[in-house]
Amino acid sequence: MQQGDRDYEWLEAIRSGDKKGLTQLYQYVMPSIVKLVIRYGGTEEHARDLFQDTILILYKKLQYSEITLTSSFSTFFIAICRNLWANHLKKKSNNHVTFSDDIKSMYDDQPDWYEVEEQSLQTRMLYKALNKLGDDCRQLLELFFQKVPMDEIMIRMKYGSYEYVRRRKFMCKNKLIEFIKNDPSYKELTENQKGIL
Amino acid sequence: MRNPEESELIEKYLSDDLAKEERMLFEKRLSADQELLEMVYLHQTLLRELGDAKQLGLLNSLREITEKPYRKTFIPNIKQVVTAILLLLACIWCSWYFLAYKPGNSSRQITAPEPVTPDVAPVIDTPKITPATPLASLNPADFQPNPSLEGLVGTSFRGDEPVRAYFAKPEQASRLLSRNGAVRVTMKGSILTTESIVSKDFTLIVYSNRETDFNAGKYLFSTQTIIQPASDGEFLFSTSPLIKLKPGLYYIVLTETGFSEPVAVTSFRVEQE
Repeated sequence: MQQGDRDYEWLEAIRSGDKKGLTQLYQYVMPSIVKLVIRYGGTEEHARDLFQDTILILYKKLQYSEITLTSSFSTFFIAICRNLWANHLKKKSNNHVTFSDDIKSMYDDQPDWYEVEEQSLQTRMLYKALNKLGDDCRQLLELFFQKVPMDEIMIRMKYGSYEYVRRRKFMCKNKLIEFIKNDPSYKELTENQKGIL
Repeated sequence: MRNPEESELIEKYLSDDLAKEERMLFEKRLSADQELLEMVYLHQTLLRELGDAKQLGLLNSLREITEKPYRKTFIPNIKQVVTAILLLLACIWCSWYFLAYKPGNSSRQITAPEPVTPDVAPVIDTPKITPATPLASLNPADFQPNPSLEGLVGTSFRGDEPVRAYFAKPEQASRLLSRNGAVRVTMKGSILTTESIVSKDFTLIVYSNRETDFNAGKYLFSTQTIIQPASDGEFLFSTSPLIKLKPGLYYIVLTETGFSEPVAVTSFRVEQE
């Protein structure tokens, strides 16, 4: 298989959420991401987050437009990671962090990259908060956010009454909101959302 | 959120399920209640980001994938493939070389004593072989006659003693073939004399065609030969060592040990098989 074919297969795996392709990509790029992050004071956990953030950015971008690669996919992927990590360090320390020129040029050519990146980080923040909940609460809210009717939620979650579903949903949602509000990036989220509503 | 009712009110507002009056009333509250407004923003974001089943599926997959340890899948690039092939070829060549020239391979093993001057040739029972001469590509200079030896080719008399010798092999200017850089040189001939020479030693010395080497006493091979009486006045000598010689012109000089004057000289050419 040619390098270019594999690169576009990985893009396709991200677009479709193909788990096998994403696993291969994870195995391929993770050593480089870990090396990059550890060199700049991060941990393997940060590297895992960066991988997920980058995948989500590309996924969101691919939902409505194509990505034209001007370098190998792994180089492109690592460049996005490097940029995200530089932004993270910048926010954390208020110090000047060198921006990746190749990515800056790409973002400047297509300004929606900035928006997609911001939105992806928000999504991941919400998702992390969701995963802090217990399984029961998480499943209940997942169904609720996907607009599954309450009576169907009651059946699927094997709850005894509609009233219990209401109360349980309220309780779980409050817990989720508490986790979100405790996240350091929550403030940024609300400020950005004000402009959208 | 302060109670389930308020939570549901937000949900209805965002899904546009409020009646016109209810909506106006709610928006009036929003303009005055900062906390409520914040909850509306948050609800809207949650519904948009976590309500996408495909995206949520992707996030769940990523969480599972990244929980596993990673290992780099080795997919070689062209440089790595070329390097691997070159290394493999080098290994094959080295294996072949060491197998072909390993000690104990009698057809190729050439060991030799330190070169000595012909006058003090070592006393040995078996032929000794001189240091290996690397096989070189053909060079016309290696076939140029050695003027100092060319004039001595044939037999000669040493002093006034009636000793003559002849080389039956190799015949003058004969052609010998080298195999794997080594040549079997059969040195065979007879010595004719009227006096008894059984107690005397004779030495066979092989020289290159370089006049400077000959004049400096540098030789390629030297062996003391045993002479056997054949008939009245005739003594035979014979030896057949394997000598590592590159293609070129060579001379064999038979001398009586302790004397520098040659008794007989012959030449031969080595060519590669």
